[in-house]
Amino acid sequence: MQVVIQQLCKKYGSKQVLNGINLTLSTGMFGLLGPNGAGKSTLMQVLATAIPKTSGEVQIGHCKLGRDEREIRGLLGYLPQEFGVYRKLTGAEYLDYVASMKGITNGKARREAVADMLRKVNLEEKRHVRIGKYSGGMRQRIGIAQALLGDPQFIIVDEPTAGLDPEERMRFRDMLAELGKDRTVLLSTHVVADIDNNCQSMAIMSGGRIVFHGTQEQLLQRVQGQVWTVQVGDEKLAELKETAVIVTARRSGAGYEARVLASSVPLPGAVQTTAGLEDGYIAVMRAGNSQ
Amino acid sequence: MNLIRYYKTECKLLLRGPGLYLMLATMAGILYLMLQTIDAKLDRAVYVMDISEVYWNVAIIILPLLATAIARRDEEWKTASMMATFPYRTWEMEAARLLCAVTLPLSAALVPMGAYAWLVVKDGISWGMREWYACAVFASFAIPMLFATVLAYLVGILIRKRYSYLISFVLLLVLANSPKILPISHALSPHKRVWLDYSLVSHIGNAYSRMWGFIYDPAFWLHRGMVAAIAVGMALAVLLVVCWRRRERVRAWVAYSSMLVLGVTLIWAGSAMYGHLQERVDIADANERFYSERLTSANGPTQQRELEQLLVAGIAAGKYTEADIEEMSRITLNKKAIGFSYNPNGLTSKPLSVSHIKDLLVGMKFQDLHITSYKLELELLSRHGLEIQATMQASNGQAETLGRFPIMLRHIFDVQELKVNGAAAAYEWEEATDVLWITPAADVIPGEHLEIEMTYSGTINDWRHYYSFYPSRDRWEQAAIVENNRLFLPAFYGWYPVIGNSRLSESDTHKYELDAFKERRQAADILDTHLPRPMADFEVAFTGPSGLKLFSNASLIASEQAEEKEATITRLELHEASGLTLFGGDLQFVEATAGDKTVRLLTSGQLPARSVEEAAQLTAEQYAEAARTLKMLDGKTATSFPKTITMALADYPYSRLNEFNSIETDMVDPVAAGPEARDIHYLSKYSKNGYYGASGAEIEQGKNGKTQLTTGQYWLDYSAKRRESSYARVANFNAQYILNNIFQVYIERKVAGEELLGPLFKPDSYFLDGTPSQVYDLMNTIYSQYGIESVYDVIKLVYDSIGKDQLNEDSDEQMEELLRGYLQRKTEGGK
Repeated sequence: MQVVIQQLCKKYGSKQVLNGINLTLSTGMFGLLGPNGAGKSTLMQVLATAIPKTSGEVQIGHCKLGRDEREIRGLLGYLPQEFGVYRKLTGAEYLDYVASMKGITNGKARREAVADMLRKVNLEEKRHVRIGKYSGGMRQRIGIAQALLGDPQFIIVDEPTAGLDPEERMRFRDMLAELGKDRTVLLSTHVVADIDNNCQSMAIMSGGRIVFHGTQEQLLQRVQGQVWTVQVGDEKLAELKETAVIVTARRSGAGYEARVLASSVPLPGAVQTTAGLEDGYIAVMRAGNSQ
Repeated sequence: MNLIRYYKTECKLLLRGPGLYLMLATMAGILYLMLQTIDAKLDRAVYVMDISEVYWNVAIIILPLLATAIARRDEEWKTASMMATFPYRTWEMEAARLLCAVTLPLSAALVPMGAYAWLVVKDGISWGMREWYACAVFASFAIPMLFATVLAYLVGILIRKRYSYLISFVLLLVLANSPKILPISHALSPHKRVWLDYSLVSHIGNAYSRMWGFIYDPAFWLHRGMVAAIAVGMALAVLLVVCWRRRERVRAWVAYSSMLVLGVTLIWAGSAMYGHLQERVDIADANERFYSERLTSANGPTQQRELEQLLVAGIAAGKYTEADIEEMSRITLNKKAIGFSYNPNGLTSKPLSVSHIKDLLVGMKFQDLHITSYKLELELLSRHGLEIQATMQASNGQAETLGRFPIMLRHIFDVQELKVNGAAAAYEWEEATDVLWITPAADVIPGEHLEIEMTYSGTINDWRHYYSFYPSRDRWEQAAIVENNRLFLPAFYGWYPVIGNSRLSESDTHKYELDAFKERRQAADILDTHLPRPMADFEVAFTGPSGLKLFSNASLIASEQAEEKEATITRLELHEASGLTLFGGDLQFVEATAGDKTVRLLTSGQLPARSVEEAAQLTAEQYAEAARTLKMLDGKTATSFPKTITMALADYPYSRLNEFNSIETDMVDPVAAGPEARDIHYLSKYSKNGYYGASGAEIEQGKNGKTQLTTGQYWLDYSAKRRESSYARVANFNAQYILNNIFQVYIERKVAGEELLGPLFKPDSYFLDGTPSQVYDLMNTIYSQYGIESVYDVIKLVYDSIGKDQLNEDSDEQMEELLRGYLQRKTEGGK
């Protein structure tokens, strides 16, 4: 399924939260990176029909946002960044309720879908336990389960791995990758590692705008040959911050091992190294901020 | 269907919370208290209404808050953004939530109905119309509950913040109490206050409202319909708001068109209710204007001087004896207890109006002109219409020839035809009275027999406005009614002609002075007179709907099908009676005996009430006890307490069936009892429990010389009658009050056979004005030193002193002095 976003804007009063967003999403996973306050969640809420757009066009499959809300909702699976669940219901009851809302009216089909989803998120044993007694990770999983119910063609997940332990995070990434084989999955995160392996296409948002839209390779190309590692002391590190972009600075022995973005050798002894997504992200953000 | 699934889930979400259990526990507690305190000696429906008032007041404010919780749950639980993206049909989800929100409050609203039904079933009362109607009235509380719940839901939808609970609570609290707390509330009459009252809880809990008849009116159901329409309209508004928020406008036109229909319904119901309420007010106002006009025009100083001259001249000419004058002044209006204990203005005896005395003087010319028999053919017409063809036989016992003579007939009638002795007679209404002057074609010579034929018709739906301190406590009552399923034509109403020119009704004007009102409140109550009437025979043919049950003091002779379909002609006759009363409707005659006294009671089946058998039994017990009490006081059985009396209770169309309101509305129609009508006594609980100052005691002495007591304070009245001192009846309020208290404890001790078991009165007994009572202390002393018989001595002493020098003021000091004197004499060995 293709999702085409053109000149999408969203205003809250006089505050422009989304400003002329243009994106095209195809089948597969699409990663949306950006710092807090960049407008990722707002974009997702607009796409998920939770809030109305101010202007622009969004085409989701054959449906047009603003006209075919109900049809779009039928195609969607949405997991917001902050979400609540009905703590008084058991996991099975809750998913059954959501399945009803998603139009699975056949009782048998609904029960099977719920059981299948509980299995997928590894909550089968807790199906009759009230959600109020679930741990944070279990609640996150039940949230994921509700998003995946009803076989959605367009899945929007906003910061889905927050609160998950590493094992669950891995498991969830794999699940999304599996889903992305024949669906469009929009994954929003500020954890670069979440999209590292799975998202071929991606975008970076900053200040309500798309500052990068392309593939991982294209992002990496932007910083190819500009990533250096160098051992520095405290004083040199401060000096380096003035002249170059420091991606990371890890304490190493008496000083720091700094990962630096620079078009030429930033310091004597600096070693050129392979660029990563994080480097590209930082470079794009720096470039965006300096514009 | 998804709606049901959503509803079930909503219920699970609601029912799995501690708050709900707390609320259920509270409601269960109230219900438990209700059941524990049940004492349904009173009218069951009224009892449940009274005790449910608190319950409803609490429930209608607290329970709808659940709706606010449901409405803002997604906000509170942070499920809103996720829920918003699900493809459910918004109207289905909201409908399910609304249904869930109203389920519990509606269940709670039906609890009083359940309690009432339980009482009825428990006591083995058979289910009839009144039980079903009472259930319907109770069940109708679901409508204001629905209104409150939807309103609270709407608040939750519109105000998503946490303080929406507070706003809901305050809103519900204000709405529930707006009829009471608004500054203008006391200045609004009941028929205006209902517009401010969406629940009618406080309205129904008060007796005056029931007496006013609102809950038995179409107006009540129209009010409910209006509230229901608003509630459904608000529910649709909720759907529209939520659909709009989710940008789902599918079939919004259905909601809009439904709201349009509801709006039209609301306007229709509102205007119909206004019409219903205003109709009686207009009728009452017309009555007030009618009688006030006469009173005002006839009581000027000029007329007073004229009257004085007339009286003096009449006495000088030997036309009137002193006894005549005495009788004239003795005939008093049969006052209704229009006020309350704190309303002395409504209780004091009103002197005969100048115009009334003047009328009586004129009317005395015709005192020996009597109608001896009536042949009355009544036909019910549509819309309260009644046509009567009356043929009356009369004889002129006067010593002089009469060129014209007066008859008393309610002014609402139009006379179509009038003949005297077969010849058309002229007639003329006396201005603003119920008196019609007939001028026969030929003079009526002494001893002549007359046949008077009259055809007249009118609309009988007569309302009276009874004023109170505050307009909010005003009452409207029906004096007479004719309709297809109900009939009330009491003899005193003047629906058939009686020769004479006394007043059928009098305008009793007085003023209420209250700080709350900048201006005094002018009240003009219309009071019906129970005038003595000569005995006559009656022959009645009544044509009315087949389903209408007819009751009367006349005997049923035959009933036959009329030519017109679905109409029946009922023939009745009555010999030597002082009046004829007709009742019709869902009525029942029951008989009960207590001791050697039997009461026959005609009661209404139309009203939600206790069983008529119980009512009759209670009345019989009161009657027997009153007779027994009088016997104790007098030492002999009073002759004026016949073994069997017949009473018509609750046949004022809109009154509840208990003794208190029987007295207030003067429901007892003496004429219903038959030939011995004027001997009927109505004895209320006050005859036993003491004088509360609410009964407006009056004595009438009819021409047959028998005394009629119309209120419960019988023993004082009886005493007053014996001593022929009208003064004692109207003065010494405080003395009477104290005496009643003394008498009451005397009876209790006497009946109990207990001597000297503690003081008669508590040491902290007070007078009405709050000052400590030396009288009670003195009585305790007399009782403790000289026993119960000495109490009786004191009672008699005080009686004998009333109106004399020893006790001629409404003075506590005089009373104390009297008792001190008694105590001193006893101490000195005298009596």
